[in-house]
Amino acid sequence: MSGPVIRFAPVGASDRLHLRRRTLCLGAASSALLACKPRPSVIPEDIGEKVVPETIAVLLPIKAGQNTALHAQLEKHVFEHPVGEVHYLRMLPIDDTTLLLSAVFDADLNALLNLMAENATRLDPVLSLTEGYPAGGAADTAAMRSFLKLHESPTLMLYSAFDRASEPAVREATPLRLEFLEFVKAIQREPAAAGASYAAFHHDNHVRIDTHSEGAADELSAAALSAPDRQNPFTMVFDIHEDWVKRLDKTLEDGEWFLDHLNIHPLRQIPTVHYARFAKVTRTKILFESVYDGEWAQYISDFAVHIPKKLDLVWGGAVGYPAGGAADAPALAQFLEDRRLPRDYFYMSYSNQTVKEIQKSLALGKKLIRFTREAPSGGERLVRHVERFIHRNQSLLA
Amino acid sequence: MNMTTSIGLDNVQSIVLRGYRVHEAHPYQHYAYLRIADAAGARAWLQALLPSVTSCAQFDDGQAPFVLAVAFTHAGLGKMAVPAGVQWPAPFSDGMGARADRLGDDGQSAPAQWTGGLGKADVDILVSIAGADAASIEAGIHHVEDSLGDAIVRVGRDDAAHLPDKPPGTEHFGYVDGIGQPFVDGSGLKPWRGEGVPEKGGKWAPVQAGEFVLGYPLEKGSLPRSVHAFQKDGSYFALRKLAENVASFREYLASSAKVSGLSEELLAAKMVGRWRSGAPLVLAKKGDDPGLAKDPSRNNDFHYKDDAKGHACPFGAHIRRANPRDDPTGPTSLQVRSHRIIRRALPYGPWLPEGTTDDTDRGVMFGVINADIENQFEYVQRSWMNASISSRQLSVEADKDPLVGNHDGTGKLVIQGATKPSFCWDLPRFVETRGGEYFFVPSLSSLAQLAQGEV
Repeated sequence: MSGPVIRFAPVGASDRLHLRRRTLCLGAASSALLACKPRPSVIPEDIGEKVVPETIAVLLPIKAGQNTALHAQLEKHVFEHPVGEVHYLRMLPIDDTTLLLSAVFDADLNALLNLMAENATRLDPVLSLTEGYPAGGAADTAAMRSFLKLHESPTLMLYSAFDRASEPAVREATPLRLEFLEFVKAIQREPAAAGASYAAFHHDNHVRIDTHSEGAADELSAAALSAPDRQNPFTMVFDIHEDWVKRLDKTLEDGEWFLDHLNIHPLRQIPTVHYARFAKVTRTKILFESVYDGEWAQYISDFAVHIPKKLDLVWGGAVGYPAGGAADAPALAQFLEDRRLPRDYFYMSYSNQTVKEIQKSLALGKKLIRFTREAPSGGERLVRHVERFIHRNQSLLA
Repeated sequence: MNMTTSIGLDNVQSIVLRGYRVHEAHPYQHYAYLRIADAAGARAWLQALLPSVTSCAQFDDGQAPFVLAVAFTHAGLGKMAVPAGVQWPAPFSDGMGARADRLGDDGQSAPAQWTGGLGKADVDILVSIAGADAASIEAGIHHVEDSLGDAIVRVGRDDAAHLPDKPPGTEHFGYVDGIGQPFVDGSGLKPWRGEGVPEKGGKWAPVQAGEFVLGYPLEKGSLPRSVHAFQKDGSYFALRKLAENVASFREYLASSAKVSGLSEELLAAKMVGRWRSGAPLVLAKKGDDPGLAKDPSRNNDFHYKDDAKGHACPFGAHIRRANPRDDPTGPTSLQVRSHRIIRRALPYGPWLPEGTTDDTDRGVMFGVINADIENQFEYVQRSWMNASISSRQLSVEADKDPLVGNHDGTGKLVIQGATKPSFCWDLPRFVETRGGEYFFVPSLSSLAQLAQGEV
């Protein structure tokens, strides 16, 4: 089993690092973060050229009297035409006057604007129910950019289970692994035809393997847009006490710093969370969103069982938070349930894939770069090359 | 330390907490599915049958000529007078057929394909009879048949029994089944090592009674639920008729043995995590150990922390999925212990002689006792058998439980190995659902209340 990949910056390389480390060791909240022992899990290693995922949360004012119409619009399938580089997007009213639109995408806002422009015909009827929507609609990307920026709400923290893999790399990783397994099966059943099996595998998949280093987008399958209950979005808005405002900022900032610099994060211990983010609605009103695999009860249980103290650090100053903290799982479930917003519109570019599936597939994809580079063209040597590879990487194949 | 719970053993029906461990199970089983045609008549019928309903305490006396249990579907309770204010959980009120998506009952297993009485809308009551021998089960069946009339009509039946000339518990694929069971706190049974919940220092703690009998303490990780006085000392029984495709299983073992180079017996053991004798792979790594298999004090006494790489028992093997114990790659122990189930399984249909094939229906009548259907039986079935949540090492969604998963021919089992991994490719569906239903098993006092029609 692979352990988590922890990349330490060279000691003393940065003043900020020094300073932060000392602060963290002293602060009660932060030392708990430090004390977080990574459980065994497969964390994707560097995937070629990295893309920092970007995120935006915008809070759009809903036009008076348009609430019902908006809900009706949100029931439609808005993003018929997927565009690469957008990991996920969701739209839902957080109250009667505000529509939340948030997204995680590669590199810069252009990816999101392209997706919106491609789907303007269906998106315009939704967003035109908000105040100040550009007259030219989503097709006018310059105006859309200003519109989104105007209503942007500050993001406090973004967590991704996939390190910094690009959207195409994440999307293609699982199909690539399945193709590789088909190849292993073929070679086991017919070792004599190993060369031909390998040639076919390589022919069909070399672009995918290269994707791990190039981050190239290619055609998306529209089928991937239906989100069965394998992946679910969770969105909540909660109020915090005034004296918790600074503390929460600091906790989330520290958490993000650990993720960026040490690749450590409490959420790494929850094997079902794709993304999580916090954003500010107002000074004391906080938005939390996540995308998780499987069932709600399992999700709550994972949080309560694996990282109750970390949850207390974040939610401890929330109005109505259980007195016994997150360790009181039923009370935590009730607290979250009471503040959970309905699902409404949710777009995920790889909605049929679980976190574990993607993480292991990404790790395998990276190893396949070298595997293909060194693979003999056929015969007994190729069979042995495959055997050595699957022996070393058996934890990525189950 | 946990205080030991005191369960009302003279009020809890014996189907809940007795005779489920393989060496204690009665070898003959009969299930009668009954329809209530007339409510008043049904009350009288129940009143007359009450003295024959076996409590746990009576089971222990061993005086009863046969073991009898009465349970109701949600529709059946609707025809009786149930006190106001009793709330029923969704899986029970929906019925098993309506939960097909969660249970993976699709294709040939879909409720529309179900044959026989189990799972049909007109089933109101389940009467279960277990017998120590053929005469005992016959006496029980006659006893129930004699009680039927215009008010209560039998709409179906299933019968199951130990396979002749096979070790007790053997099912049609050849495995001794029913070994790994939870030990329930306050059940009054003698615990065997490995039946409870693994704790630090190699100890085993009993599972809290409330996980199986309503109205008792729960495991810490379980969500509390309201229990009405009418439901106290009751439980839920999930009954499934599972057909086993023996010829396809044997063929598959033979062809996979050729590709993998492993013997058929070893492959069969790796799929389940036990040799067909019942000896667990974690303890019997080198080969089968029939002595170990037969010894209840040892055949369950193992930990997956001793097999962290899956080299003995694969991460995807049946028993590692169904009860991940202390698997370091699995859920936390808090989560594992809140998803335990008691299983009662006996084969139906004749044994298929080696080297032959036929069209005879055979399989197991598989019953589950649990207090929270959604978080116990359905959870295990959905998240551990047919998905990958039982271990962080499992991540290919098509790779379901190799023996009982609802495969579509694309899944596989990776057999982790110290020198090389092996594979079972393209797993077909070996087990299909032929019927199933959720029943509520009332306490004896609540049965009496139903019989008297008191609200």
